[in-house]
Amino acid sequence: MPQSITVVVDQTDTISSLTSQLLAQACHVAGWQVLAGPYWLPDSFAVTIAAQPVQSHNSEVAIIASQNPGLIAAARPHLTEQSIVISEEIPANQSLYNPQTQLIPIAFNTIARQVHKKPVVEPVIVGCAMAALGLAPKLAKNLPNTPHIEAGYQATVIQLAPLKLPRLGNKNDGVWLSGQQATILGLLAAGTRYLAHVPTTAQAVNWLGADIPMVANQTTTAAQAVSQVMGAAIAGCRVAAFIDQDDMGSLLPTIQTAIEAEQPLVVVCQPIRDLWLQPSFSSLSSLLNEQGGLLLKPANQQQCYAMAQEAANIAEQLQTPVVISLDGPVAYSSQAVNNLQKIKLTPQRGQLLTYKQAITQTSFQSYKSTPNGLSPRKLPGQPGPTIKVLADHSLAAQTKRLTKMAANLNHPIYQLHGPIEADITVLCAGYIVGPATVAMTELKKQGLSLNILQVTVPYPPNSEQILPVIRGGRHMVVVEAAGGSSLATLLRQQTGLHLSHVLLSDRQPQIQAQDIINYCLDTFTHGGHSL
Amino acid sequence: MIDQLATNWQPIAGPFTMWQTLQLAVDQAGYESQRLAMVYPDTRSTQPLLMANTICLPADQVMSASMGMVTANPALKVIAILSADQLLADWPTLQQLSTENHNLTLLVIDSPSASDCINQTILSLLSNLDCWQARAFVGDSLHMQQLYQAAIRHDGLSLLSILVPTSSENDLTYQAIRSRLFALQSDKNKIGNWPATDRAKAYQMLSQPKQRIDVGLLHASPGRPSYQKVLLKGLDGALVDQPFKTLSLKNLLP
Repeated sequence: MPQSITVVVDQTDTISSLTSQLLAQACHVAGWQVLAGPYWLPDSFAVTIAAQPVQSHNSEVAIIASQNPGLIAAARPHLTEQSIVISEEIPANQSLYNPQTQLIPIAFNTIARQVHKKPVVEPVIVGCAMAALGLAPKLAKNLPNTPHIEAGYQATVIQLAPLKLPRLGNKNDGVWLSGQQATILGLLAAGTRYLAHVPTTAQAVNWLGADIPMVANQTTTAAQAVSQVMGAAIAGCRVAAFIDQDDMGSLLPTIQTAIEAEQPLVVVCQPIRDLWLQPSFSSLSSLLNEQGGLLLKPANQQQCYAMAQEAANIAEQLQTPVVISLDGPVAYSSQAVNNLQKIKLTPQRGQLLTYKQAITQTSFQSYKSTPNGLSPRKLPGQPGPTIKVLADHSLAAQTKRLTKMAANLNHPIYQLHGPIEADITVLCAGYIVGPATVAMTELKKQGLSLNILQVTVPYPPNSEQILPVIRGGRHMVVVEAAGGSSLATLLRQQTGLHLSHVLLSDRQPQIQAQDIINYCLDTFTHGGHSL
Repeated sequence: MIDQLATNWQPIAGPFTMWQTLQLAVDQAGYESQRLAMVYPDTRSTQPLLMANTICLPADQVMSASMGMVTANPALKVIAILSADQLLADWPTLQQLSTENHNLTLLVIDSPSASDCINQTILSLLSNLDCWQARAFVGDSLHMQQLYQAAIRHDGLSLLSILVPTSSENDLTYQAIRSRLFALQSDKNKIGNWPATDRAKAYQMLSQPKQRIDVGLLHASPGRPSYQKVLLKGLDGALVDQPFKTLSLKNLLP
């Protein structure tokens, strides 16, 4: 029994897969730990199940259920002897497959039409995959289109020998969340009451219940979304904007205004295409570095929930915008997140004046220069002097903002995963922590110890924090996906150290655990002798 | 003093009269300066001369930010100031403000030339908005003050265009406009014969070529509750007054 099983299915539209969500929920109900999200084969999603929490999808495909011949062909090199291939027809080049591989033809569309005059294929494929996993269709009783799932299951179960997987008795109690949902939930839990979003991120926002004490407003452009929440922030509300990463370029002047006007807001950005690309954010990072601002990068759903709360607090404490950048595999992957109740940050409202404090003010002081750069924040409607919000471009104002960041930003910028001391330290950010964690486990079996230094706050740089850790490491490897060597460059700028072992996947945009394993074995073992 | 300025027109008189008259209207409406917020573009050479909270932003952010402010705290009276060009440049936001009927006052500074007092393109676009709309002339301060008061007191989006001659030939423009003014309502409390509640008819009449320049209430949709009024009922209080505590997951999950 392998540690985990990866099932590959079709991508339904450009950014999601109904099939993977339905299958994942059936596996979740069965008691498995599940990770469902984008897979690196073209137009595919994956559901990976295991007894332990899943960090990343496998390179080997145990089951593929797809109506896309192109995907079936692309998956062939990743199949094993035990793999099961469920497709509309037997693949044309059958002789290329391992004789042990089970090739199961299922007429998905015909079955879907037989069940209902409006054919829905995705649940039929879910039923087929459930049969291959040996999961009873009753586990899907609360899912939509149960008859379709049942029909797919019945058509498949008579043709194959399902994988032999140990049964898990107890239902997983975690909350089933995607990275997008976890982030929004974290913002809400932290007291965010105004959320503006663009149409491309509406799906994630509309998932929320109707009775929550929050306004979710859809705008035409990202700049309008950020402008709206800035207005609400000026009025004293905790706010967030949920935008598309592609809008970031056009958004920079708006974010700059929020920085210069010292308004606390959270901007969540996610990709709607190029899901595996890690954007370099070069323009945004320059803005944050030069003017004052923050960028957080969570690695999984649990971190999304926690960092969203941190972002809301930091924004108000420092009176500045905080950007949360979600990588595609984090935003669109789902898994059950445990112990959410324990992640509770007390809302910190920074220098916000109370009613009693406001009434004693004799003049508006929100941009007044102070030793630590933080000034009292007054809201319209409070007693005392009226406010004068202004985006101040002057050098004095910029100096004040940078003083504020330098004097008050004591948030840890990294998290260490694995042993404190190791042969190799992998520096990475975002979704790559998942594959790196799998690599850590595999390399340990081969005599190499590895730990992971996850950079959670890439911007602004903080060399005081990161330098001692990097200097203390024996061998450092920066791992980042295609899209620019932003992390490696940033670390060089911060530390002055040339980190020679930089792994960039230039043949494909995505990083897999096997890439890290191969690189470490090739580079750090000599003639079979590990370091 | 205002009357004197109105009859002896100078370039500075336009903005000055606007702010003085607005201050009078705001005072009469009973708004404290702390509850009043003026949002205006950073392209304006002078800031509004008003006892109020002032928020100076890039022009393309003014309407969106104003919407956010009043939604977060409906107790505020938010007045946004834009030129006609700036207003139309952010048409999607203007449409949203109108469709959802946000409780906001938009003061639109319209600077016509002597030959083209009414921009027909602007007029045709504004005819698509179902909100309280009026037009005033800065040279008639008493009438403008009445319209300010009505705009501020309106529950929902109110859009008040103010004809302000500011060009170098402004005296000519001023005279040209003043001589052609026609008050649609003779009594401030009555709509009169003007079909103000029938938007299509009102704008059809406004767009007909004629010598006179109509000022007064152009259109109103009585009875439409503002977005903020509906929101307050649903949320049981303003967003800024919501309990600021960590909600339990049970409350948050759908």
